Amino acid sequence: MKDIVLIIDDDPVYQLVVKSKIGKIEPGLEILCCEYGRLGLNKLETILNGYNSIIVLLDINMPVMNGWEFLTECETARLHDRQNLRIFIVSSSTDKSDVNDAGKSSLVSDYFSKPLSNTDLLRILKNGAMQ
Amino acid sequence: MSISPEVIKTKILILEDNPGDMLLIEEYLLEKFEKLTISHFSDLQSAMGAMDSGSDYSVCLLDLFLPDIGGFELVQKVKEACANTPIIILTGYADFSLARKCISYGISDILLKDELNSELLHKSILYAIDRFRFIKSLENAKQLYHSLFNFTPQPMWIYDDTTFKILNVNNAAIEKYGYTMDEFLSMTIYDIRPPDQIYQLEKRLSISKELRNEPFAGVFTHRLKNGERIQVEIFSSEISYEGQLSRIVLSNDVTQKLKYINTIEEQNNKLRRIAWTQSHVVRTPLSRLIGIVDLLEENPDEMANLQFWLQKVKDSAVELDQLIRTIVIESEALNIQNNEKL
Repeated sequence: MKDIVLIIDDDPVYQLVVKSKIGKIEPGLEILCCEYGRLGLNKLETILNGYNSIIVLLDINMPVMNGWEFLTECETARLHDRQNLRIFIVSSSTDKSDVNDAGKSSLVSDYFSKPLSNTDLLRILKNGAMQ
Repeated sequence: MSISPEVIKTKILILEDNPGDMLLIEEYLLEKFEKLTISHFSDLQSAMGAMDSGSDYSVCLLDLFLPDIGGFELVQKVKEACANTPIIILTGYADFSLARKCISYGISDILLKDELNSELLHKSILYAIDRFRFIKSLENAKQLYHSLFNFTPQPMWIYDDTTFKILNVNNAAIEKYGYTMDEFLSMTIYDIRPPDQIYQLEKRLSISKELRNEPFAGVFTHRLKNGERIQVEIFSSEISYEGQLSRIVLSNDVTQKLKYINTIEEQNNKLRRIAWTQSHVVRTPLSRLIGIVDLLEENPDEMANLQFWLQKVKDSAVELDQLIRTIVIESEALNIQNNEKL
């Protein structure tokens, strides 16, 4: 089975930049993009059983369903039992309270501030890949 | 209090109609007191004038029966006229029930003429003067506390800690809450709370005695007679009031203060919103700019799409500019509000 990266973010330029960077680090890795939480949730449900490893890069500040609401929905769906799922928050916020809130959710593996550097992406991809 | 040789001048008022007794009394007094002035009257009528004109007598010796008036009626009249002078009654009759009545009325001593001697009279006079001074100072202290209670600008009251009836209130409480003294005295501390706040009072009353010893009880909502609600800081302390276990309460109206705090809180929220905007919204185009530059540096392939990326850089720069302008406008609005309110 394959690995996949799911980018949930309403900024198309950010999506392009991250897609390009990941393409350099791990050519051929499958990448999906969604503009907000609700779409991301629907996508996630369809791919949940089809991949060895799913890495979600989640933005906080989005229309329709923001990052926190997305996480709440995931918890309701008991997705933290899923061994193949890793969620990383990638937000433009450097606000301490956001970092703290992220730390409280058992679903969140780590928190990154935008822009994602190559080092950040390497850590995410390494962390997210299943042992 | 000791019997010391009197160095100050002793001014004695004597009401005695029997010349023989008078002679004896005078003799006893001269034997013991060095500096002495005696004012002697044989009946109440003639003594009244002397007693009225600023009586600075050290003591009054009163025969219980004068030609014009006698008995308890006489005692009452003299006591009224010489409110600031200790009175010692001299009598030929041992009437204990009258004696007790007189003592409870504030008469210093009652001496039987048959048993009188210079030693006894001297001792009785000195004791009476000292004791009267002491009682006066207690009364003054009571008066002082009463004044402090009444003239403090903050509402205060005393309530019975068993029945919660209000026992006394000061002028400031009457003014603030709008009830008269009589109305207050027929109320309990429940009556100055709006019905929806009774549970707060009950919560407070149910806590342990030790905790209630803390003077600051907290902020409560009270209701004035006109129905208006006020926020008050309450300080209270245990007090024994006329023999009853009571509490004295000081109430400080903080309604206005809380309003100011709310205003400040609102402004703080606006500032927090600006800070949040800076962290989230401003960093969005900024992080995008850094991301694009990073990408171009690290991935030379992307140079093929330079025109595209340059357009994105320009868009992000314009977006950033717009955001900063918005923040400046918001900050300015905050300043204007500040000046208006403070």
